[in-house]
Amino acid sequence: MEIEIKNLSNFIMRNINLKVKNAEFLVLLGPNGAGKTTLLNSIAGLIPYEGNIFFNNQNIDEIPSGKREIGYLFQDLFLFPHLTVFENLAYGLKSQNPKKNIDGKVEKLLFTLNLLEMKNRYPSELSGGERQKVALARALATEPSVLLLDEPFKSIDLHTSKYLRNDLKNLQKKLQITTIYVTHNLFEAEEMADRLVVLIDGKICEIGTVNEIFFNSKNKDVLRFIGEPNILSVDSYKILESGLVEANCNGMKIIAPYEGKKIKKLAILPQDIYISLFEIIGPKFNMFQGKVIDILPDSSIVRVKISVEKNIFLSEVSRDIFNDLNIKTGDKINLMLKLRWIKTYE
Amino acid sequence: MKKTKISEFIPLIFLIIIWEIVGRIGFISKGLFPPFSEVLIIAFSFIKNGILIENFLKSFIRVLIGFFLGSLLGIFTGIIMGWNKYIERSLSPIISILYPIPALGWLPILMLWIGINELLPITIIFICSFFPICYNTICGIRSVDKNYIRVARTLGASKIRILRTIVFPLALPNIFTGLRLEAGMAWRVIIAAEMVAIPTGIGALMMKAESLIRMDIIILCLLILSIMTFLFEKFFVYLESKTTKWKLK
Repeated sequence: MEIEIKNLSNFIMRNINLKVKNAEFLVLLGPNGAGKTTLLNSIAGLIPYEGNIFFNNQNIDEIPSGKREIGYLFQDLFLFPHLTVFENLAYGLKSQNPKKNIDGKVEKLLFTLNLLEMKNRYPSELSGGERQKVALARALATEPSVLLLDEPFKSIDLHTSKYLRNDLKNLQKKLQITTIYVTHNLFEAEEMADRLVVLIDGKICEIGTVNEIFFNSKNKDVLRFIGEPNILSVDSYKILESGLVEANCNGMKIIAPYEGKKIKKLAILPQDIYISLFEIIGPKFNMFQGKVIDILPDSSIVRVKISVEKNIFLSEVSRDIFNDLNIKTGDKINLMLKLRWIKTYE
Repeated sequence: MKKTKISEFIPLIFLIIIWEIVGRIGFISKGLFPPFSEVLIIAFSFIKNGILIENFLKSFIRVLIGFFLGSLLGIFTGIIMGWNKYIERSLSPIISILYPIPALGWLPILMLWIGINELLPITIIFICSFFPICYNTICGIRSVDKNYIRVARTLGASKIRILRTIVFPLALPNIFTGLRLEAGMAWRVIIAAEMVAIPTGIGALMMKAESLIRMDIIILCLLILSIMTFLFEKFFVYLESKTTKWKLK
């Protein structure tokens, strides 16, 4: 299903124009209150809007929500607490065709998503990850042409959410379903997206691939939001044991997660660089000493520019922490790059 | 539903023993404070001669009919008021004016309108049940998170199906709170109504006993009121546990 949005406006959104290709995985990225959920709700037909939405060139503005062929996974899931897993999955199918025997179809879906064992349980008897899977299965049960996902993995732990994101991506590819995924997490967006749309203050600031937006964005609002990542060129690298890689970046040896692909660049966001005037305790990797070359205050945060060997890093701290640190230009400073948040690119 | 432990009855048994001892010691005249055993004796004798059964059944049937009709209409009105804001806006002033009037406050008007017959206590119980149950149902329907309705809409459910399969079941805990409280209240009100205006039933039996200074019969009637209130409330607790299993999980 191809989606086209023309001049869409309402109480938050301002003149949104967007095309989503058939079977594309589009990620809507933006800070809280940017209008991401409102845009999904408009596509789902749950709130009024001005402008037009087309599915495969057919105007759907007058079509009620339940007939738009969408599967919607809400941020807080909203599994019906009084229905079992099976009944939750069957709900949409029964609503659309009450007389049809849908048991086989639901069983098949439960099997596909490995939920068969818990079909008679109530949502309150499931773990966070299981609930997420059930909600996804419910959204997919009616075989929608468009899947809308509103920060679906926000409330579960990092490990489970990574595993579920992987499952979702595979399922989306298998089903070839046009998907719009809302998040405010940069790395989640980068991991999932075929294309990214950055939405800030109800308007689209930039549309492009991950590399285009992360490395070449010129839009000030976008740069402010994604935090101008520190990008380092990798001269050479050595694969270590346990899924890590040691990259040589202009004389600095940086340990990063290895994702099995060639590495030409490393990126780390300013907020993921820890700084201290004193020696940082803990394992001695990704810890460097540098010199503060500039201090850039910006409302509630302060950016500190640090030179380390031949590289320049930008670190970001809250104003309170900055005041406690009492850093001045020219100070020698210790910095640590948080391993988990270092990203590698081809 | 939680199982009742034997230990929970110990204070009750203790109270009965104290009652029996105090009644027998003779501190207070037996006529004013009969021991428990004498209340039991009068209970058996009243059961045997049919007086107790006859009066109990009168009260029981009045409560059953009045409460059934009152709660049925209360739930129905509450659902449509909670679901449709236009109906709610139109009926809400009427409910707000009538709800605070105590059920027994209607007695003088109803005695003149209906007369003293079987319809009078049934109507009193109907009024006593209708308003609180209607109010609890409105609250229950309104308290259902609107996002469940949105989810159901995206899944293609019609308004009626959403009301029937999502909103009503999720409002049940609130509705049951109303039913539980009012089931007990219905018994209290019927006894009071029978004492004041109706010549048959447990309340009327109690008034006759008062005129004969038969404390044992008065206490027996109070015990019946207490047991029936307890049983009615427990019945709705049981029914709630069966229909809202998901809440206990």
